[in-house]
Amino acid sequence: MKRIVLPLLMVLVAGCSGDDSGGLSVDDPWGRPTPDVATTAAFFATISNAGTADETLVGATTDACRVIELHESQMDDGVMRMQQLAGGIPVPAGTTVVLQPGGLHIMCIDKQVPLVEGDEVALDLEFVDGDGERHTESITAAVEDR
Amino acid sequence: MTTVRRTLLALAAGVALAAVAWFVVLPRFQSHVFTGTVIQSQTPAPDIALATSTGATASLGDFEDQVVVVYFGYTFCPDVCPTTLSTLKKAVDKLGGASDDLQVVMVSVDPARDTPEMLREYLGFFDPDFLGMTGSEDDIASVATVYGVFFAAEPGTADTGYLVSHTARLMVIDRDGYLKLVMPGDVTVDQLVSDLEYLL
Repeated sequence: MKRIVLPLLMVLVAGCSGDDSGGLSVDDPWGRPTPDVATTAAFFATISNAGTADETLVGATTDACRVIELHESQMDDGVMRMQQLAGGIPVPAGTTVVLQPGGLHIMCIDKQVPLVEGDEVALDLEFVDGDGERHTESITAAVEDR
Repeated sequence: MTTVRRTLLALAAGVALAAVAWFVVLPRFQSHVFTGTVIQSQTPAPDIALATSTGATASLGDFEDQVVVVYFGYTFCPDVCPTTLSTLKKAVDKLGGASDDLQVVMVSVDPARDTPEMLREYLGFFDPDFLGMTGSEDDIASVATVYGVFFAAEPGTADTGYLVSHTARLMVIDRDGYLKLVMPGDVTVDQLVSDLEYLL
């Protein structure tokens, strides 16, 4: 399996306790293989918040993409519309939010590396908790044609 | 041969006949239930004559006696378009040899970004036989209008520039050149295979 080793950019915020993120988990992160000429891609995952504090996914970084935005695709009477979620993706306490094709996703803009079946991509997801404190969850997304 | 043995043989033969009738004969007399919405066209599908990813100009008439699946999408699309194209590729693979008479066409709704070369590289990743079509925005709008397809550029961010909202349905044109089916964009591989297999 070809593996892309991408250095992680850790976002450390002074004073961040991280206590409230104890119940946060990011499972099954993945992205679809894309043509080399494609400048965009999307990543998906299941985010569960078993903690007592609300969380919001506010951004992400990875060496695989120059820019990442959080987006939502919505089917409206057969028309697919996509919009940026500037306020992030809320993950309220005690809930699970699924990022999946045709819905919420992490949009990769200006893709920097080929995304080939079997690759892995390291991403740092940035969350803000209910107290406004930022913390990072590092994940590895599998590149798979599902 | 004892009476018991004759009875068992007769029972076995009966079960075998029933199985053949159930699994082989009966399905031939049952009408196919389409996943896509069936269109009863009185006239052939409106022509789509645009520049293609091969560098030539093509029209629907070039695909005589083939089933054509037309999708309106664009290469900057990160989510739905690659998902649909991946579904189409998986359907083609499942159809095997039957897909020799199938042509997948993606008409770009983003001609400013999607040159013929870009479409060739992009679609070739999914299947070298997938054909891209593009043209001026007016030409594409004309085609989209007659197929009931909406597309519009929407303001994006500094990094996306703009995004294109678009009808995500699949149009299926039968071997006789008539628009036969309109399929939802989130159709599954098996649903697609079932409908296309019937038309092929």
